[in-house]
Amino acid sequence: MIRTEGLTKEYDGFAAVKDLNLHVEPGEIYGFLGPNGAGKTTTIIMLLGILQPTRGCIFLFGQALHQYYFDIKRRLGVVGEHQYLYDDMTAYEYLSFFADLYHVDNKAERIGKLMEAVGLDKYLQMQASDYSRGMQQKLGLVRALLHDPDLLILDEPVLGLDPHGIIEVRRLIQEQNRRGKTIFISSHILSEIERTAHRVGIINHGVLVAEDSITNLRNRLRQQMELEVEFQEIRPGLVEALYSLPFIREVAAQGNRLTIQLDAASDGRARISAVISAQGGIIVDMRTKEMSLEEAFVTITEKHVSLWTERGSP
Amino acid sequence: MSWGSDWGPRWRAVLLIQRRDLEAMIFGWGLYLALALAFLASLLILRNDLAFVNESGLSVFANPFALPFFITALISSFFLAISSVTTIAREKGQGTLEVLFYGPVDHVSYIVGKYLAQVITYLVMMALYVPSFILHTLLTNLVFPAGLAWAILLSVFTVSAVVALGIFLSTVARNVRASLFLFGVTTLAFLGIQVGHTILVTLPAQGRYYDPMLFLKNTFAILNQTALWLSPYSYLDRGMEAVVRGSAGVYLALFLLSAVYTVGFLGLSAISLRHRGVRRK
Repeated sequence: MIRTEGLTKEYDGFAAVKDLNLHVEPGEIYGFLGPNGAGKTTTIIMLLGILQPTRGCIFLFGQALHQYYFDIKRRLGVVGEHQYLYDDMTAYEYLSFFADLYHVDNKAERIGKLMEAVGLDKYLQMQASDYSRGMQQKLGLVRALLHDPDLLILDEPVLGLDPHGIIEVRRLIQEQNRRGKTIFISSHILSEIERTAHRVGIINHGVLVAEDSITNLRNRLRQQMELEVEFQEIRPGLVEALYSLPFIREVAAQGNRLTIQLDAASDGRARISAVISAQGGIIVDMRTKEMSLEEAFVTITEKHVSLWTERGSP
Repeated sequence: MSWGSDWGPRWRAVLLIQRRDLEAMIFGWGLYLALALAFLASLLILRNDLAFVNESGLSVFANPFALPFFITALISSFFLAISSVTTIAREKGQGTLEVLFYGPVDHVSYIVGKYLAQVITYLVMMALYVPSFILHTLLTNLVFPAGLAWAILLSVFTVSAVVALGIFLSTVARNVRASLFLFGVTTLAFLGIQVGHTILVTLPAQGRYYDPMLFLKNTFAILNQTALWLSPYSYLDRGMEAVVRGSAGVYLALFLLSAVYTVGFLGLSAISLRHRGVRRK
């Protein structure tokens, strides 16, 4: 659905985006992550044809963007980071203008339906510029969905939304995805990406440093596993007995709870349970602590920084 | 870009951008201020001319509507120039330009849409001026000269050139203030050259090759000749002169020049917009 080949943007010799090869499959939700200034927005505006790349090619829907600009743009829905609105238009006039631009049939009905879905149907005749930040964000999403696009490119779609708003937007995004639409989201709210995205791409210093499903990323990064075990009471000698297992790295006790670090390669949960039982311990709860996307993100981007520094050049 | 299949969506974008700008113009106050000023100026000129006829008992005006129309067209083109100079810079400053480019809009369709809105506004203004001139001919018994119709037709092209220059300046500037400054400097430069040349021509020179006055005169003469080609305002001036003198060749040349000027600056505007980007800085 989205494919870039060697996409590069340079400003006075500085590469904001460097040799980027993105692959977004049809029907997936793709999270595009990166620290501030990593090149996310530069990449997005190049994908939209707003900024010309210094080098490289962009293919959307299998077509070269520079060759099939209008065909591609008609199938694209975009929500930018900021919702810049015409200050002399009501929300309805604003949406109506964009509906005409995309040649939307039954625009009044379509606008009404989408505004209802985001809970803004009562404010259609209000000046769009008087909307709150959250309302403007939702209005931007409605504008992007007016023409029922096949690909949605969303830059910080939940920024400024309250928890209810976030849930509404998430529901709308997931509903679009269920209908077969491809969604490309760039966001700083990693928990939101973790909830919705099928795959993520992480960009740092203009370079795509990782691209995979969240589970695969976690597995690739995980060098050790963390287990949290809660007991009725910790029996004397239990910690020492656990250390006798070859894959145990560290055991830390806190109240009736043990945090056990073990090699990721060997899932030793069964053997740990056996040792605990042999020591007369009663397990109340046992859970594996998963690496969050946030932790994965920090690990990947920091790793990249250190590599970058070692090489001594960007 | 596959130009052949793109003309449908491009034209749709042009019409929508043009319609939005035209509506903003019609519902704004600037247009009516320009109309009122133009009406007032032309009425004052006509009133003075009629007072002269009344006092002297002689009507010596070959084309009594030439000057009122020239002033009317000048005020209109000045209004449209300011409007076009600010239009893109304002939209870029507000960020709405970027949002527009999320959709099926490209640099060419945007520039052409903006241009058409201004030219149609001029046609609307003319649609109000012309009946008023006809009404004046009926009230004053002055003849409505056929040449005026030719002047009106040419003015559409010369105003187009003014608008194209304004749009170009708007794409170059970073914001509204900078674009207005650029426009002011350009207009003052054209005017300064013209006035400077007119003054210097009347001053005597000693004729020696090292005379600084002669050098200054020659420099301003060259600058004036250049400004005659570069300033779209001078096209209207020269066009009016050609109509009054009945010089068809000059008239046609100015038609062609205005068209080339318009297409040239619209092309440069699209290139400039593409180069400088549509994002809010």
